[in-house]
Amino acid sequence: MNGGAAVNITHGSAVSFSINVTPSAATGAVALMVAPAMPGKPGIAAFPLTSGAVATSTALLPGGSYSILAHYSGDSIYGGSYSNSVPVTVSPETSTAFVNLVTTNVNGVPTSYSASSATYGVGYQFLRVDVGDVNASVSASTGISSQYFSRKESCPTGKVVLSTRDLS
Amino acid sequence: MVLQLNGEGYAQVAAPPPGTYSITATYLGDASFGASAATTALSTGRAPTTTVVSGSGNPVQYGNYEDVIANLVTTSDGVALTGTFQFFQDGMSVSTPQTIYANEGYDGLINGIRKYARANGALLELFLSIGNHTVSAQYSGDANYAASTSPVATISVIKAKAAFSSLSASNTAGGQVVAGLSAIASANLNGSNGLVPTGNITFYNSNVAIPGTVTYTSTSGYLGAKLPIVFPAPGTYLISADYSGDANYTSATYPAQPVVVVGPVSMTRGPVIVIPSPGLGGSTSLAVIANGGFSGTAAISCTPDSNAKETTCSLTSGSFTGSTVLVNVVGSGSTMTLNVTTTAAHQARIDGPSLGTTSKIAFAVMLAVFLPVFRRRRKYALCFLGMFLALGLGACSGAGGGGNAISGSTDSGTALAQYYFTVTETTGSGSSQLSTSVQVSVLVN
Repeated sequence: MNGGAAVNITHGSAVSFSINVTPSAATGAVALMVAPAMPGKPGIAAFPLTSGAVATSTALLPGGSYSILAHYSGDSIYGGSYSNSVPVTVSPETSTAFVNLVTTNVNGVPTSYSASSATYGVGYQFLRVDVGDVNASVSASTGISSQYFSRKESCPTGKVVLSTRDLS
Repeated sequence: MVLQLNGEGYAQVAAPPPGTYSITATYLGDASFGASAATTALSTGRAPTTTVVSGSGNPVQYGNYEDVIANLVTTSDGVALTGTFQFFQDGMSVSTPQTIYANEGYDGLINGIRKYARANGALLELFLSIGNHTVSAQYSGDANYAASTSPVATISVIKAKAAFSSLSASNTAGGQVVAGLSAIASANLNGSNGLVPTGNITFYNSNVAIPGTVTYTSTSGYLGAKLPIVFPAPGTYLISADYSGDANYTSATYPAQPVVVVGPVSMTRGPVIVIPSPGLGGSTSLAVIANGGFSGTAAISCTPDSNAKETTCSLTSGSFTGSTVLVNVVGSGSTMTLNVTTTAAHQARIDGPSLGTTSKIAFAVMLAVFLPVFRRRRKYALCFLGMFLALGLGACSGAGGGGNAISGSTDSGTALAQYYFTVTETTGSGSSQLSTSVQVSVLVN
């Protein structure tokens, strides 16, 4: 990764890397992990070895400054091993927040993700706050569309402050 | 309000109650995402409601309370309703707004039917005029439910059923009715919560209207009526009453009921007189009591049982004793004593023959026929004397008798038996004379 030099990227950006396991006859998979590796600590992503090597990219590095390393868990012939670590700094990307009135039918199935009005007692109504990437959008029929929608490991976390001003 | 994103990049919370709002969500950011914010405007309307009113009974009687029910229905899956119902009668509000007495939130599907939120209100309304009246109700609405006004319903008000609550007769002091003295027949007729019944009440004695002027009183929902009446003699009378009805009340009848009328004086006998054997006497007390405030003189007399041979009776009041005594009866009355004498078995008396009429005639004829002969023929005189004695004695004991028993027979006196002596009191005179009697048991052992 970056020739072993420190990496500085924005969250969500892809970064290329290669992992080589010797001997090349090693099979199985390698995982990118935040260093130092700890038993039970989940990896960032896992990749299958091809002839003992992986050369690809990932946009899944979480935000923050830390080091990453590769961990080979071994196979039936070869034992596991750890790579060298590479310092990375992943800066926060721009987020987009959405707040909408979501309405449902009496069975709780959403009828709109972006209603502007509703009638009390007709199904259920609730306020929903979605946070996505800069290109995210909300559809009335399907809800939020964001590159992170299907990648929970990179979804926004943290808190939202909701303020309501009664205009009645 | 602070919300925590759920790991899938969103958070949600129940929508605010119906109203119009501007909502701002501020994302604080994390290591991977910068902060951001969004604002939206939304409005949530209150659930519509439908209210219908009805009377618990129709028609309604004048002056009676009627439960007017407001039924509110929704098509809401929401919480139970709050708020009030204001009821109207003929377009005018009645009482203060009534709180909901029964409500339920959405209750799910029951037997395939959605049980939406619903509520009921009720008010006891008074209807004070005959005819048709309209009722309606207005639901106030609450934070979640819209107000609604029912269509009017028509209530028909008819005459109230009048009913007598009492019918009685008493003397003017409220006590026993006494024959010959002024009494009052009284009746009370229940009204409703409206006007007190008007109209006429007629009293009857054995189905014959009692003459006189009825006086009326109106007191807290009922009509009172009183009529002076004089019952001529002791006994049981059947009195009844009719109410004529009026614009607001139907007619009514109080069925005949007995009124016991007593005499001015009552007598209460003491214990049974027990006489141990014929020839002896006995007595018992006798209380003479004034009824219903009577005050006056009563003549008290006694009569032996007709089967009581050779008995006498007398009354003792104070220092006076006789078969009839006059007693001044007032207040609690007075006490007197009934005395009874009997006769033991005894020898019949021998008095001179008491010739009967036939004997006297026969004797006179004999004297007229034979007296001249006696002067001429002494021997015939002796014969006549013998015939005279035989005829005279025979007449005494025969059909022409009438004289006393012959010496040697026995009079049994008063027989051993139970007898009933009668004591009678009499007050007044002429057409107003009243008498009552009691019988006193006399046991001769």
